[in-house]
Amino acid sequence: MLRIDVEIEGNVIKDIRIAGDFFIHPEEAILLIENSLKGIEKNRVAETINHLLKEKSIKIIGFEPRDLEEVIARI
Amino acid sequence: MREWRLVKRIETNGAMQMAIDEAILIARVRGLVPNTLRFFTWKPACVTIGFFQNIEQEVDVEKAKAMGIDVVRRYTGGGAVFHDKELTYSIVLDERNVSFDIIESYRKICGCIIQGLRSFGISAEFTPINDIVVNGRKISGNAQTRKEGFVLQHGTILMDVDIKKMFSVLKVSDEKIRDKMVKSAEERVTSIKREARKEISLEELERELKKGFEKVFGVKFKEDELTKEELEIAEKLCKEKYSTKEWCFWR
Repeated sequence: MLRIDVEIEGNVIKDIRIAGDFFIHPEEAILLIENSLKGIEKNRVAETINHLLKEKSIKIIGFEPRDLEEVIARI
Repeated sequence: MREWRLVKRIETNGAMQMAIDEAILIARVRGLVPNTLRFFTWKPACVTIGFFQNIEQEVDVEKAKAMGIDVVRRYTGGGAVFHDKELTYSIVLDERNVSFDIIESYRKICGCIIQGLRSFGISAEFTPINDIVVNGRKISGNAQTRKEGFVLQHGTILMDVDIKKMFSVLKVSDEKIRDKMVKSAEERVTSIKREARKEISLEELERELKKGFEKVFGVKFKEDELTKEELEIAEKLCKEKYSTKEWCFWR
């Protein structure tokens, strides 16, 4: 289960915090993921995260970046 | 045959257990110790939450406190777990000895537990990502982290389960859902006591699990203590990390 606290202005993410029972390797990369989304438009969440995962060899187990984008789109 | 270390069972509080796990991982990364398996029990009972979970959302912290139950955040991801009547294992090893693939490494390490359970006539299976089930009921939950080419995986093996007590500290927002959750959890969770249909001691279970690890990895274990360095690192981590509010409430 994902819990997302997000602050949005217009279509742009100002601040975001993602919590839940997933896994990220390495764990500390959660901060990189959250930071990468600040200042990003809502419809570019998956693209931004996928790029970061590839660039930094980060693995997420338990949710897909597009799931996160869908949840944010509904807010 | 390769020799790995088995650390004698330690019974202590959750913050120290989590600190010991991380200390062994750090010592292993530094090349101070060999691959290491250990078993442990929780005193007092403890709720651990995953690295990424929000504590207030998962645990009734006040109630846990009133019941004398500790609450600690793990270094590993995953869900909230109530640790009471269980045997817990942790293994630290070179990822080349298991798998670079995370799910495959869960499968291999969980295979050791499944092998051990077989000797009690319990037929268990691995269900990805990280559970071991008997006839669809969960008997073991597992979680891992990796650091500089080394894996730390820890997991529970339920000896017995008190679901009402479990749900009195794990948060469920509404009473109706709570009743349903207790009922459905009773159908989804099982224990050694229930599956073996006889009392099995921690010693017996530990012995068979150890054999399971030896068989799957093709190694022998040598029983040993934690080193002085590991204990020092663990005590520092316990005091400065796992026991602190900053760590437990960080998200």
